[in-house]
Parts: sequence; structure tokens; C-alpha cells
Amino acid sequence: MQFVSSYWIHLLTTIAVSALLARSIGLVTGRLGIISLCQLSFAAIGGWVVSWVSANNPSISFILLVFIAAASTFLVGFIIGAATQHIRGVELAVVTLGFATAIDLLFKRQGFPGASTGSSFIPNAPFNDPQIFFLLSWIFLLTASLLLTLFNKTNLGLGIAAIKSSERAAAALGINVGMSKSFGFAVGATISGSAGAFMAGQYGLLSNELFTPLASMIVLATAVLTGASILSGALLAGAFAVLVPEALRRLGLPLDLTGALFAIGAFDVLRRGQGGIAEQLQAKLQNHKFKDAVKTCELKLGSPAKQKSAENNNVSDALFIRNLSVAFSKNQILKEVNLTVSTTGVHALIGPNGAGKTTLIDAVTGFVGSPDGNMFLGAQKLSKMSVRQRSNFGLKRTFQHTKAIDALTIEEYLKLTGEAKNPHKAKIVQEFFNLPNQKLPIRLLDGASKRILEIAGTLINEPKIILLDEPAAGLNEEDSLILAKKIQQIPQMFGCGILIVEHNINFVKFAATEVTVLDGGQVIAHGDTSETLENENVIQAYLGSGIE
Amino acid sequence: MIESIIAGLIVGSGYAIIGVSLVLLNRFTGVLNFSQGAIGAMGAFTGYALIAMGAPIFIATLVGIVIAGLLGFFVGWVLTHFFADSTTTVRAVITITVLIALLTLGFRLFGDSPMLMPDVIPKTFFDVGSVRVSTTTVVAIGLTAVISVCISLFLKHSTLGSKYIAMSESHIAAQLLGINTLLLSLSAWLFLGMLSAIAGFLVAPTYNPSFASLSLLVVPALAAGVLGAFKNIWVVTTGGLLIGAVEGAGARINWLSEYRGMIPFIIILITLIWIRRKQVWDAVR
Amino acid sequence: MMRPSLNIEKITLYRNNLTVCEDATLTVHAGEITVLLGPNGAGKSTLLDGIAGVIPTHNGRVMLNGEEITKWTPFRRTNAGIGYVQQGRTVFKELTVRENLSLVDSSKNDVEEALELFPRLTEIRNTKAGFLSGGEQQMLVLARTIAMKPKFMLIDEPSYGLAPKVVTLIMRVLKQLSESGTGILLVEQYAKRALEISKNTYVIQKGKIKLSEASNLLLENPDSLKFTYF
Repeated sequence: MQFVSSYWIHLLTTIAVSALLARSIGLVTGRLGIISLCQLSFAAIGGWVVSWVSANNPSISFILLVFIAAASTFLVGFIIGAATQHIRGVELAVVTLGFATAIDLLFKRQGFPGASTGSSFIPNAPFNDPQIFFLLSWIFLLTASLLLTLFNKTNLGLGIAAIKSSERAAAALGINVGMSKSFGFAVGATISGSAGAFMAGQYGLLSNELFTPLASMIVLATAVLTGASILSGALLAGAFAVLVPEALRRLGLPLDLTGALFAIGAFDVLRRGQGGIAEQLQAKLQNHKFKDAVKTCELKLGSPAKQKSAENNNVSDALFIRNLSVAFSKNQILKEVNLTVSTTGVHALIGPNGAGKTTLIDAVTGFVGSPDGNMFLGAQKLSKMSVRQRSNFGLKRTFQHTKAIDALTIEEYLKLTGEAKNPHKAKIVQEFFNLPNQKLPIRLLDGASKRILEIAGTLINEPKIILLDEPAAGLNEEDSLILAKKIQQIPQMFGCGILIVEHNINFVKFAATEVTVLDGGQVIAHGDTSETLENENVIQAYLGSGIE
Repeated sequence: MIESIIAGLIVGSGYAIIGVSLVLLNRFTGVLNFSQGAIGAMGAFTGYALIAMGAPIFIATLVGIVIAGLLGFFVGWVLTHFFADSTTTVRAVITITVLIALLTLGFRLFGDSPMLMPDVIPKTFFDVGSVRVSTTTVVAIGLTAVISVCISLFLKHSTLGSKYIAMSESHIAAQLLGINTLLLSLSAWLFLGMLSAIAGFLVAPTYNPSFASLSLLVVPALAAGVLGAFKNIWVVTTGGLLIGAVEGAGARINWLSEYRGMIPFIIILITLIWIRRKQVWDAVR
Repeated sequence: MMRPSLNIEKITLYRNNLTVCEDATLTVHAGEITVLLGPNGAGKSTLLDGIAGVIPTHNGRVMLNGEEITKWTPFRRTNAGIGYVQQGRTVFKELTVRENLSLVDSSKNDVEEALELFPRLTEIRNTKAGFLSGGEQQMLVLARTIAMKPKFMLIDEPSYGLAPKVVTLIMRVLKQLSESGTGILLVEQYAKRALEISKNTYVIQKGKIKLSEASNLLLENPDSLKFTYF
């Protein structure tokens, strides 16, 4: 029975296919942060695979064909993603544009199977009925979106959002950056590739005109305009891609204005900088939902529920830094630094600007190429380990500038830091720092609370040593002193040692039992906190001497 | 073979000139302009439309060049006005929306079929040994070289050039020395837009482009830019000419001729993978 | 007539969405050196950035000789006579010393005068600034700004990472400049030298001005200074 005209069935199918394309941009550009100008090239590959396989095996089921197309584009996407993992930003956009023109040329010359003979590809029954095909396309779209939503909640999917915000911070959380980026790009390619498979089924004969670089750019613009990183945005993009040209046609206007309209819309969205239409709407709903929620970590001192004694800490897990030297080109940043961070206390690293404090943290956590000297965590030599391996081995850190991931909720962030393995620990951490509602999006947190959340994150997955770079930045004086006292309790509560870099000497006095002073890349003093701070050399390093 | 290489050099001079304007714009203003080819194409196609309507070649060419310059100026104004604080990626996406708009406009104005374009420079042939060379080739390569030399001299030996180099290192630091970075940026947009139109005029008679295909010259131009690591305009110039020559040679190799347009992509891919091989981490923030 | 002055009235500045400087009020008089002291991360550089217009002012006003300039671009403030020497020796590495100096729109005479303050720069005038030592780069950025004859100079940690001899030279030059009428706001981490050449001192902690005092009083009582750090 025919409910609507076959023309509208066709348009509704196209909406599903366009929504799939927008969704792939939403993942690759919105979630992963790669500007892709080649999503339709993946669709072309998917479409080609369907036409080619079915030309050789006419009896094969359409659903199987879609999966074959998806698998092939996943493979192509993964290879490209892996090969280009060190290329970023606009340079990667250049690569994708190059790929789009190359694929465009390939299919222009090669043609799609059946195009030369005019033999259309017809999906096997029952999918040769446009209504059933339409149903299939929507079922596929919704299933794929559901799977993608689930994927976004897995550690791999959450890791992708972390990578967009900062690759360094993601690696420090123990995420395999290269693999996750390639995988994310490949999943995007897969969604586009399946969209291409549906296009093959819908049109029968494919033409390279459908997959030009310009078409890819317009898909990008549409996705930016509607905010396709969420399903509603992708659906809106699909609707726009079909209904706008339809409206133009009825108004007697040229159809190619569609692209220009979307470009203008994307321009305006980027000018406002608030995200695409659906993303803005979602943000507004969230703002409303959490209007009255607590958006800050109100630190309270109160006695912790259950205090372990620091003596139980595994003392052998201490961090040993021996003769560490770091030089960038000819600049010697660190010279033969020796430092031991025990697991039973808080160790502060202080010193004037440019003394090399952050470089030391970078070197210990694996961000400095190959520093001279040795570093051990317990008996384990660190030098050969990657950032990720060190993190997973129990060496955690925070950064001077906040790297909390605005796209996630608190719950998701904690999951990423290893909550699943230590649900009990996560609960203690939450209470300890008085973290707000789990469902609160991180973007709604105030800046200081984001930093506290990052510290909380380092504690969840059995850390041995954590390194905190200026934990009190952005906190007012009162809160920073409470945080100092909190940090002082961490070794007992969580059984790990802490190294803090901090400028606020008051903070150091409250938090640390041991202080090392760096000046000009060298250790100039070390010892008990109060004694070291009274040391004449240290005062000199801070205040300088008079004119001689 | 040699003749196809020489024909390739004409197109290569277009790649080189657009490549140089892309690289300079990127250095001076921090914008990677994907629409630079389309800006040049708009100028060149306007010029050819005027010629078709009977305007004198010289006037038509001049008008075309000026139009591209003004178009570049306008795009530059939009970017500096609305997107001064945006990231480089957002600015690049903006130039993509500009490219979409220009391609739509170009299609409306000039259609999408390849066109035969008359030579702007009178075409005569002469023989060098056994090879037949046209004046067009000589002018194209000569002009490319002259443009690169002039720009290099300007940057190296004039105070204004020093200001541009200063600006390419830091807009803020330049402003703090009283340099009007806004004015300098817009002038660069204007001038480099005009250069891209010149590239369009040089290439069109050999290339018989549609508006879209002339606009997408930006891809091989980007390949040339990548070869020069988006910095060294000599490498960009040579790279552009070489890509043209290789494509020209490829036209005579059976298995390659149809697919020689993929060469720029392969160059982009391999060069960037090589340049960035040690860049394990994203930038520190 | 009132003495020319640069007045910062209750300004609040943000960086990375964090309040880095809150309600800061201070005055710089022509012909004097005013020092801004404070530990790392207290908001000293941010405050200078705000005064020079490099970052937007969230709240409060910046007044130059009674005229409000809060909304002006850095370029316009520079031309109005506020010279800002940023932290980190922002030389243009690809340009030679001479070219670096040629960037400023001032007479040959002014450039020569600035060079006389740092004779070393004349010897290396054809070297690319990227190859200079830290001290030479610091001299160059100072000379560039001095050549513009600014009425007020904001100088961020000129002694950072330099040998004591160079620091002595730089401090002497700053003293000389102030005596010839320039108003200087000097940010320093090393307090003593700055106090010796300055008239007034402000101490900033956690983004707030905590103390405003005559420099000689602070010098006489170093314990009061220690409090600022410890």
C-alpha cells in the first residue's frame, strides 16, 4: 500500500543518507577535531564496492553488501588515519582535500561499475521495493546512531573527545592517541562508506558528480551549521540537504544555491562561535537543567571517612630522578637534577620563573624526547616507556593550564580516568573533593573546579606518584589553603606520593613536608619545608641581590 | 616528451604563483586560504568574459586582476573583522565556506563546462634545437621567476618587507612597535589576490579550465606550498614548476596519463608525513 | 598642570577563563619608576598585557593623562605613547638587529640615541636577532621601544635569565630613562635591584594588589618583602 508518493519516499530516503554523512562529519570534525574535506570520497568508495561486488555476485544480499562496503571504508579510513597521525590542523585538512580530488579523478576516469553498460545495480528483494528500502535506510541510520552513542561512552569514544581537547593530556590519562585518532577517523569513514552503499542502492547507477570535493565541502558546511556531532543535528542536516533544494525548486530558483546557503549558514555559526543549531539547543537545555545545580567543588576540610596510615604505603614505589639533564637545542634547561619523591608525603618543587620545573615534570612523564640521566618508579626504569605506559604504570600528572574536557560530563571524565576498575576509589575521590553532580557537563564547571577535577582524576586508577603542576592556579586564597591541606592528606588517603610545582609559598607550607628548590635548572636546596624556606640561598634566588 | 614537459611548465607556473600567494598569506595573516584559487579564477574568468564581449585584451586583463584583488581584500577584511581571535582551523573552515560561495557564484556566472580561452599574451613559436617553444611558455616561466625574485628582494631589502616579516613572527609584537598590522594584512590580501588572477590568465589558455577546475588549482598549489614547508618561497616556486613538469611528462606515460592529477595528493601526503614525522605531540597550550 | 600619569582603575582581567587579576588599581607617574612585585603566577604579566591592550579588560578602566583608553587596540596605545616590552624577549628572529630597529617609525636620531644606551648593539647590527645571546636580545627589545620615545614604558622582567652584569646595565638605563621624563612600570621577580632604582612599589599576590609603599621604606625593612613571597 502506498502511503506517500514515491517521490517523497525517495526524498525521505535521501534524508537518511544525508544524515548519515552529516553524522560522520559530526564524529570526525565535531568530536575528534579533524577538518575532513573528503567524507564523500569515502561514500564513493562505499558505493563503488557495492556496485562492484554485486556486479560479480548478483545474488548477494543488500544488507551484506552494506557491511562489505562499511568494512572496506573502515580499512581505508584506518590506513589514512594511521599514516597521517602526526599531521594536524589545517595541514590535515589539506591532506583530506588532496585525497578528495584524487578520488574524484579516479572515479571520473574509472567510472562506477555498470555505468558504461548502463546496467543499474538493483538491491535484492525485498529491498528493491523503495518503501522497504526507505525503511531499511532509516533503521540503519538509527541503529548506527545508537551504536555511535554507545561507542562515545566507551573509553575509546571518550578518549577521542579527550584527544580533541589536548593530545598531551589524553596521553597522560593513558590513552593511545595514535590508535584512537586512526580508529575515530576510520569509524567516520565507515559511516560515510555505508551512506555511499545506500546511495548505490537508491540510485542504481552512481555518477562521480555526486562525490566531488565541492560536495564534501558542502556536507562539512551543513554539518557545521546544524551541529551534527549529535543525532538531532545530523537529522537536521539531512532534512536541510533535501528540503532546501526542494524548496528552491518549487520557488523556481536554481538548486545550486543550496551549497551557498549552507556555506553562509556555517559562516554565521562560526562567527558566533556557539556551535551549530542542534548543539546550541542542547547546550541551552543543559544550562536550563543544571540552572540551580552546584557547579563548583566546594572544598571542605572535615575529617576523611577512613584514614589509612601512610606507613602502609608501598615505600618501594618511590620516584627516583638521578642526574637528569635536559637541553633544547643549545639551551640547558635542567642540569644533573637529583630528586626523590617518596610515596608517603608531599614534595614541593619551587623556584623562580624559568627554573625548569615544568620541564622536569614533562621529562618524568615522558614528554621530553630522550633526556640524559635515569628515572625510576620503584625498580622500574622509566626512560624507555611511552607517556601512556608511564601513566598506566601509576605515574599521573596534571598540567599548568587546565585540560579538562569540556565535551564530557564529570561522570564520563572519571570513567576515562579508570573509574570502572576502581568504582570504590572513585566514590572516595568524589567525596574527598566534594565534586558536583555526576551528570554535570564539565563546560559548566568554573575554572578552578576544573583543575580540582583533574587532580581528582589522577587519584582514581591506583596511582603510585602524581605530579601536580600549579594546582592552586585560579583558586582564591582561602580555597587554595584548603586545597593545600587536602593535598597534604592524599598520601595517607590514597597511598601515593605527590610532587607539586607551586609558586604560592603559603600553599607549599601547608601542603608539603619536603621541598626542593630549582634555580637555573639546578637544585640549589633541598630538605624539610620550613628549614628550606628559611635558607639564605633560597631567599636570594627569589629576591635577587642588590646592585654590586 | 620535452614538449609535454614544457606545456606542463605553463600550468606549473600557475601552481607556483598561487602557491607563493598561499604561503605568503599564511605567513603574514595566519590564514590558510582554500579559496585563493577561486579568487584568481574569478578575476581571470571576468577578464575572459570581457574579452568575449569585445573589450581590449589589456583592459580586460587589468580589470580581471583588479577584481581578484578586491575580492581578496574583501575576504581578508571579513576574516580580520570577524575572526581575528579564532583558531587557524576555524579560519581555514571559513575560507572553505568562501570557496563554496565563490564556486556557486562562478557556476551561475560562467557555467561549468571547460572553455577555450584566448591567449592574453600573443602566441608565437620558435625552435630551440629540436624543441618547439611558445612565447607563452617563456612568459609564464619568466613571470613566475620575476614575481618570486621581486617578492624576495622586497622582503629582504625594504623596511616594509621587514615589517611583513616581523608580522609573520608575531602580530602582537609588531603592533607594540607601532606597526599597523591590519593595514598590512589587508594590503597583502589585495596584492596576493591580484597575483592569483595573473596565475589564472597564464594557465587558462593551456588548461582550458572550467571555473571549478581553475579554482581547484589550489590543490597542486597547496602541494607546492607543502614542499616549501609553507615558508620558503623559492622551494614553493620551484616545487610548483616541477609538479607542472612532472604532470606534463606524465601525460606521455600510458599508465599514468589519465591519473596524473593524483600526483599533487601523493606529494602532499608524503611530504607532510615526512615533515611531521617527529611531531609526536600537538602544540603546548 | 598635572603631572602626566597612567592610571589603572580597578581592572579585572581573565586568562583561560580564570580570573588572573582582580580590581587592581595603580598609578604610574612620568619621570618615575614604579615597581610591580609578586611571586610567579600572581598576575603581573597579565596586568601589563591588560594595560597595553594585548588582552581585553573585563572590568575597570585604563586612563592615560585623564583620557580613557580601555577599549583601544594595542597599536593605538603604542602610538599614544605607551611602550610595552613584553616578557620573553620578543625579537624578530629572522631580522637583523638593524632591521629590528628599523621597524619603529622614528627618526634616525632617535634610533641612534637608543643605540648609544647599548653600545654592544652597534657592534652586532648585521646579525640576525635569532642568533643573539639572551642579554643582547633583551637590549634589542628595550632599544626598539626606547627609540619610539614612549611617554610610558611597561617592562616585564628584563632581568629574566640574564647575567648580573647585564642586569646592572639594564637597570642603569632604566634609571636614566626615568630621569629624562619617562614613566616606567617595571615588573620584576628579583626585588632588591628594582627597589633600588624605583620610587614606588606595588605588591601583587593572587591577582590582587596587596601593598603599595614607597620603595625606600621597603628596602629599609626587607622583612616586609619576605612576606610577599613567603
